[in-house]
Amino acid sequence: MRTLRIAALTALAGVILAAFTLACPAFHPYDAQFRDHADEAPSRAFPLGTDDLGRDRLSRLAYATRVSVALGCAAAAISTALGIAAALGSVSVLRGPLDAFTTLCLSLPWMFVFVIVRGLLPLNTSPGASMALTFGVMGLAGWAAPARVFDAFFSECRRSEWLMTARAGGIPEWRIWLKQYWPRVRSIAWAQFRALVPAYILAEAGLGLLGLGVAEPATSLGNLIAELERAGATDGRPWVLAPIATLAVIAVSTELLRDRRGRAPL
Amino acid sequence: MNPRQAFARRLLFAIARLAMIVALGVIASAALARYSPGFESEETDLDARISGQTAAALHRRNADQTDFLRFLAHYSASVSRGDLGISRVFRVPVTELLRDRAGETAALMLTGIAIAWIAAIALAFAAVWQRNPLVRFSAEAIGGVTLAIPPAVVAIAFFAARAPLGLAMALAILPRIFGTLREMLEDLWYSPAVIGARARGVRRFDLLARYIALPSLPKAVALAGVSLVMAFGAAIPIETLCDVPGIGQLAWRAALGRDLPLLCALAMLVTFAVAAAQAIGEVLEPAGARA
Repeated sequence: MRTLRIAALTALAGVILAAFTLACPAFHPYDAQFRDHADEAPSRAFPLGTDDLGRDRLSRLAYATRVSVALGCAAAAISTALGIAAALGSVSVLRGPLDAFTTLCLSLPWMFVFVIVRGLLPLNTSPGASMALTFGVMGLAGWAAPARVFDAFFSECRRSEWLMTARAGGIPEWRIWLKQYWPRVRSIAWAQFRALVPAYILAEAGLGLLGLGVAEPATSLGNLIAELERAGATDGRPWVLAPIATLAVIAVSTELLRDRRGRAPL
Repeated sequence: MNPRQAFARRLLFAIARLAMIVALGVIASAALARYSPGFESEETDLDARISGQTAAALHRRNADQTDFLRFLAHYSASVSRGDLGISRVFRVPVTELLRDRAGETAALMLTGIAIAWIAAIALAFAAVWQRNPLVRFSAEAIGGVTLAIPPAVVAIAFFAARAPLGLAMALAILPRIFGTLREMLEDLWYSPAVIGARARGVRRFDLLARYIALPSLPKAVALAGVSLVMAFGAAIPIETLCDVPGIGQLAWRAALGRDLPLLCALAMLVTFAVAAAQAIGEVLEPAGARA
C-alpha cells in the first residue's frame, strides 16, 4: 500500500513537471527581454515576475527544468553505461587496476572532482557547449560508483550456480546473456540511474552557484539559483525561490522512486 | 595464522593500498591539469606592458611544469622533502597556503560532522525504535528534505541569516549519514541476535551497547571516512560562497587558475585523508564482525 502511495505521488509530481516543461512554448521565449518590465513582481503577464534583465522567470524556470532534468538523465545514463563497460572490462582483464582506480575515484569528493574538471575546461564557451561540458563532465566523472556495483554483480554471477548449471546444460553464451544476465543488469542499471539523476541535478545546481555551470543566456536550475548569491536577493521577493522549490520537488520525487535499499519499489 | 598476524597483514595491506591510491591520485590530477586546454598559456601573455623577451623568460621558468614526466619526477622528489611547490595563483609556497587555511576548514568540517552525526543518530533511532508514526514520519521527512537542497543553497541561506556555517555543513551531510545509519540500525534491530536478546528480556542499555553499538562500530568508522568525503565536498561551495578562507575555497581557486602544484597537493591531501579513514574501517572490520 505504501509503495502504491509513493508510486502515485511520484507519478503525479512527474506528470506536473512534464506538463510544466512541455508547456515552454506557451510562455514567453526564455531569453526574450522586456526592458520596460525589469525586476517586476508577479503579474498576469509574468506569473513569476521578471529578472534584472526583464526576462520572464516562469518561462526560464520551465526551460531550466527541462534542461536540468534532460541533461541530468543523460549524464546518469552515461555514468551507468560507463560503469557497465568498466565492470565488464574488470571481469575480463583489468581487475586489479580498475579496482584501484574506482577506489581512488570514490575517495575523492564528487564536488572536488567536478570543480577541478569543469574548471580546467574552457569557461568562455557557447551556452550549448557549456551545457554539454557541465553535464558531460558529471557523466564521465561519475562512472566509479556504478562500476563498483556492477563489478560486484558480475563477480557474484561468475561464481553462481545458475551460470554453471546453464553452461553445463550446453546453453549458448549469447542465450545466457540474453535470458540470465540482461534482466539482472537491467534492474541494477535502472536503480543506479535513478540514484544518479537527483545527485547530478543537485551537483549542477552547486556548480551553477560557483559560476562553473551553464553559461548565459541558456539556463538551468543551477544557473537560476545562482541569482540568490546576491545580497538581499530574496528580500520581499519570495517568488525568486521558485527554482529551489522545483529542485526540491524533483529531488524528493526521484528519491522516493528508490526504496531504502536503493531498489526501485515500482 | 593467529589473530595478531592476521591483523598485521591487514594493516600492511591497507598501508600499501593507501600509498598506491595517493600516488594514483597525484598522477591523475597532474595529468588532468597538465593536459587541460590553455594550460601552457600565461596570464602575462596578454599583458601589453611585458616585452617578448620577458614573456619568453617566464615561459622558460615554467618549462618544468609543462613537461608532464619532468613535472612528476620533480614533484615527487620535492614532496619527499616536504616541499609541495609554489602556487601559480597565489605565488606563495603551497605548504604555507595549506597550513594557513587548514584550521578554518578543519574547524568547519569537524563542527559539521559532529552535529550531523549527533542529529543522524538521534533521527535514525527515532525512525527505527519509535513506534509512534508521527516521530518516524518526522525523522524521515527531515532526512528527505535536507537531501533535496544543495549544500550551496543551504550555505547562502545560512550566510544571509548570519547563522553558524557549521550548521550548514551539518545539513549538507546529515541526510546521507542518516540514511545509512537508519539502514544499519534496521538490519541490526531485526537481526536474529537482537530479536533473541529482546525475547530474553535483555535490558535496553545492554541491548544498545552490546548488540547495536559494538557490531556497528566498523561500519560506523567506514561511514566516518565517507563523512569526510562529503564534508570536503560541501566545504567547497560553503567556503567559496561564504568567503571562508579555507581549503575548499582554495580548491575552487586552484581549479579556476589551473594551479598545478596546488591542485596536486590538494588531491593528495584529500585522497590521503579519505583513504586513511576508509583503511582504518577496513582494518577494524573483522574485529567488529567477531564482536
